[in-house]
Amino acid sequence: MVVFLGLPFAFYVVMVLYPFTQATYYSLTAWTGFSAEQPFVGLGNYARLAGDARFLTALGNSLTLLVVVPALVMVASFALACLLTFGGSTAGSVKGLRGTAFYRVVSFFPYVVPAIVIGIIWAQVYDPSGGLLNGVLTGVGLDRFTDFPWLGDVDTAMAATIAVIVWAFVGFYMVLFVASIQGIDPELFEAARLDGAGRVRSALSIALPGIAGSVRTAYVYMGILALDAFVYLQALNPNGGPDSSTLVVTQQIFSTAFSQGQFGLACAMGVVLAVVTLLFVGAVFGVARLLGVRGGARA
Amino acid sequence: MSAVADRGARTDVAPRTDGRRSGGRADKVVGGASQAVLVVWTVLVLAPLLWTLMSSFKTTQEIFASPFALPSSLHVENYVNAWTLAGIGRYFLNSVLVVAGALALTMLLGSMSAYVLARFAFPGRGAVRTLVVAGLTFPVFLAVVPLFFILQQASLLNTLPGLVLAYTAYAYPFTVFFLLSFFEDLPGEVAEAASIDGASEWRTFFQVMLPMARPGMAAVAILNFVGLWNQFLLPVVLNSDQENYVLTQGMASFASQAGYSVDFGALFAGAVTTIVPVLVVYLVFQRRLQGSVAQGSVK
Amino acid sequence: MSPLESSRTPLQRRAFLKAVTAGAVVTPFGLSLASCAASGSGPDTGGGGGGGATGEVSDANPFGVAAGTTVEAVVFDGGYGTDYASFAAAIVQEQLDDVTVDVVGSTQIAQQMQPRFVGGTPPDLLDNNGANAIGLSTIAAQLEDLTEVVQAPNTEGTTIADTLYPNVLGVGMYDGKLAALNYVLTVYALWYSESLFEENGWTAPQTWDEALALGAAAQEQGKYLFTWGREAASYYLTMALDSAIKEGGDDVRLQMANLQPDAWSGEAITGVLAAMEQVVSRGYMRPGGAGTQFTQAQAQWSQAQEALLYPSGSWIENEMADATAEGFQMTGAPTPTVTSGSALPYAAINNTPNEPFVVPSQGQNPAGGKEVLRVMLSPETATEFARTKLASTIVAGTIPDDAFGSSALAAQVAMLDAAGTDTFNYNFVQTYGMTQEVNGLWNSFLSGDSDAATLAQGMQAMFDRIREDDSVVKVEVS
Repeated sequence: MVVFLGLPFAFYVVMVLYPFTQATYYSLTAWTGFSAEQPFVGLGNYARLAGDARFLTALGNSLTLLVVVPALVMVASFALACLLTFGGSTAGSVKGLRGTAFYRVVSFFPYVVPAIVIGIIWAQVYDPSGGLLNGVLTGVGLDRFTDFPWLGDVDTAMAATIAVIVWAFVGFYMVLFVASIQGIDPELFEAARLDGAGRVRSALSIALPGIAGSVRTAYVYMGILALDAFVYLQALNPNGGPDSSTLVVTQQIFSTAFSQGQFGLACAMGVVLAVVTLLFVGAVFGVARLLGVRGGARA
Repeated sequence: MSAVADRGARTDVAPRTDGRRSGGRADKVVGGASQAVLVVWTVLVLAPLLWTLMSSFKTTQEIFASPFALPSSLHVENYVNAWTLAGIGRYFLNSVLVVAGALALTMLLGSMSAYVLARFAFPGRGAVRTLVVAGLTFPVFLAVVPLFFILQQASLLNTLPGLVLAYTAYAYPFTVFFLLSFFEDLPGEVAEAASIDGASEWRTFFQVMLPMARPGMAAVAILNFVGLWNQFLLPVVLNSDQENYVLTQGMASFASQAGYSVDFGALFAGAVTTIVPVLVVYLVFQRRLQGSVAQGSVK
Repeated sequence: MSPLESSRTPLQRRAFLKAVTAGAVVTPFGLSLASCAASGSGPDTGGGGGGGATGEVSDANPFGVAAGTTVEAVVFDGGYGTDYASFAAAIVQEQLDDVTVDVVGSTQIAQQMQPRFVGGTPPDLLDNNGANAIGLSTIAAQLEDLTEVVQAPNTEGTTIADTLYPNVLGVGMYDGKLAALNYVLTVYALWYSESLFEENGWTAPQTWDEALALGAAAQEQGKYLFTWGREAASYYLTMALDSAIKEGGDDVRLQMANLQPDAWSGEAITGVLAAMEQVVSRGYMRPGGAGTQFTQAQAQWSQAQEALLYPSGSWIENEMADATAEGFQMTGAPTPTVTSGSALPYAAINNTPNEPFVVPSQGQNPAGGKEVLRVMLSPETATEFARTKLASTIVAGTIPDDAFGSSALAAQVAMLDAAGTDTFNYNFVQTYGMTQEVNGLWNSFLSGDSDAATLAQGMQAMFDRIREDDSVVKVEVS
């Protein structure tokens, strides 16, 4: 047990937890990040954050991402996974739609594209005049989208950003859920169908409970990713978007730490973010427990 | 391909009971609609990627002039520029070495720790689990200063092995977290039987438990691979020697230069260069990957 | 890139040994909160820095760089690359016995330099530029005073200060110390296509009324007066400030740079914003800028020629070289004033220099860092820079009459000559790390989503917040 857990965990403590503990200490100082002096200010940084309108805006946006992104990714990838596993003709044995293997391979493509490259590509897709999106929309006659700035309009910037992150992850979770659904005893589907259950009911009453463990883990992972989202946001809207509508906490931390020379304050923001993340993870596990989910991929 | 398609398309071992035919016409409509959804999804996935591919063969002038126009001729010099200016070849090799090393180490350490945490009760287990999750929650860039000094003390700064260790440490909490549920789900009787047979802990783990957790391992390995491949901040700070740059660093410095000299053609070419090798690896291994996931799931 | 970069290992080892002896290294297992990484070393306790061994001072070696030493120069690898620094490095190595200069490029300055400043092992020369630059006021106290460099003779024996354009050192002053030397002279102007203007009989607007008239003329041809990109909305702040400073005089600059409480309600700036509001509301801005990557927006002006004017620094020609229409003949004109009776003449120009080079006091070899800077400020390197980058350094007289065939560079020289001593500069936006917020406010304004009053309020609120925040180090501008 020492070898299995002790050594890796000690390594983890030194390389990860110790630096984080240090950063937590910095959050109690007015350290600029570049000098040797770290004047201790107690909880002063936290008090400042409570009245920092820009930080609170960023926190609000991050929470929006936290609520919306995992939900969209889970729903979309679960729906697609159902289509691929038992969405096919109800005649004969339970099966997915034709071309399943093709769809599965293609859906995975965005996942192998580095995040920074995804950001670069989509920033181009959204370009008001030379971008793919407006090119298509105006091409089919929707002239009001001529020069429409998807990432530059308060009403659309956040939605456009969310769409990119969802695009990047749906395929992967779809593949994951397909594997999990295939792990469910097929006789359950057959039996449900004999009882007259349609595809939707099969999905909700058999597939979903069957892969609840996978969904829970995936939800946590997507949530943590949505709270970070730094790379995507930096590529799409490095300034935080119109009226700061896409400014997220990690971006605010980054600029506070490096261009404004307030590393201590940035660390306090980091601690707040960590607490939010922990609460989120706790909430997901709590809800899952209430719903009777246990274990991993298979029920 | 067809064998794979079959495996994906049908939940295996479908019993030969003839499913009740639930209204042929309505069934066709639903099937058609489902098929349409998947086609739309495929277009959404592929369009930006194909557009990037096409743009990578255009000159910067052509890219700015029209999003859809085909390149006047195949401007392969974009790839030459990207390759020489960004030194992508060398960075690619560095990335492969670092990611391969870190992935192997992460999977080994992570699975051992998850196994112990999942299957053995001991005092402090809850605390260790919480600390592991805590590692997922903090923005990495606030931790890099202390980490810099730790690696410096170990004389591992600006070395590839140092980077492997850092990558491993930061992938460890996620790996443990994700694998925990897989190990929790494995039937306990097998391990008990193995230990009654006198198998050592090592043998029980490596020869009995690990193979059973293979679907989970595959999923985590894929997630980790992409996470590590995309890792950006750790190498920027811990690996400032240009000889040792990994691909993301190379891409960032290249994107910065290409942005300043407005060489969008080369930028797209660079993006394609980073995507294609990973895509090829995925396409080659995806059958095996799917196979192992499905096989593991059916047990 | 070059062999100059390859020999960094010994330096790292030395840095490591130094850190050990200085007690800068943390003990990973000692988890006590107070044993933070940074507390061990610093300006007072950290050994090594502050010059190291000094060699003999002579005219050829005015800072006394010791023989056998290495100089590490970290240079921002952006629009100008790093080759000009390597060019100077080669000259230093030639002139001084047994001195090695390593030039290292970087685009992630703050992230890579932070632990080195903390640990007391910064490089000897640092070009602190780009999106990831360190806020200069944050490290100003840890930097050498570079007055020594500008008072030294250049490689041809003339005192460097006497060879510089007027008024180019001010933005590098922090608390009475020349902490940063901004190497590249930048002229902020309105850029346009000479051929297009000639063809249509247009001239560059000298007042905002003329600008509005030109906007109407552009609209008749289906063109726009201006275009902008989302990361560079701040260029319009620069244009507005330049116009207001010319209209209202140097007081306006001081009010702005010192973040005064009523800076944004002055007559001059209000007049400028009212005019710009007209530009927006009459539809003279090319739509979509708030969602457009800035170089793409610039191509709408330089390549597609959908917009007539673009306000920018003089790097624009070099930046858009690959995306400029044939026969464009890029040229520039000073920013318009509000009235013809402005406090400064129309020819007055913002010449805030760029690329701040600093010499950290804690480096192994600050004398070496200064020596590289001295060579860079000597005619040979300055001329090489102008020739290869088509941009002027702060060293005057390095550009021949033909301006290396560049119409924009020729315009730049002409504008500087016309301005004489009527030049001004400021860089508070960078100093206080405002760019992100500025872009947000200006994108809204330029899109027409907010008006001049809202914009002025937003800018003033940001000023007030920073001014009253004690944790932000202020730079007094005079």
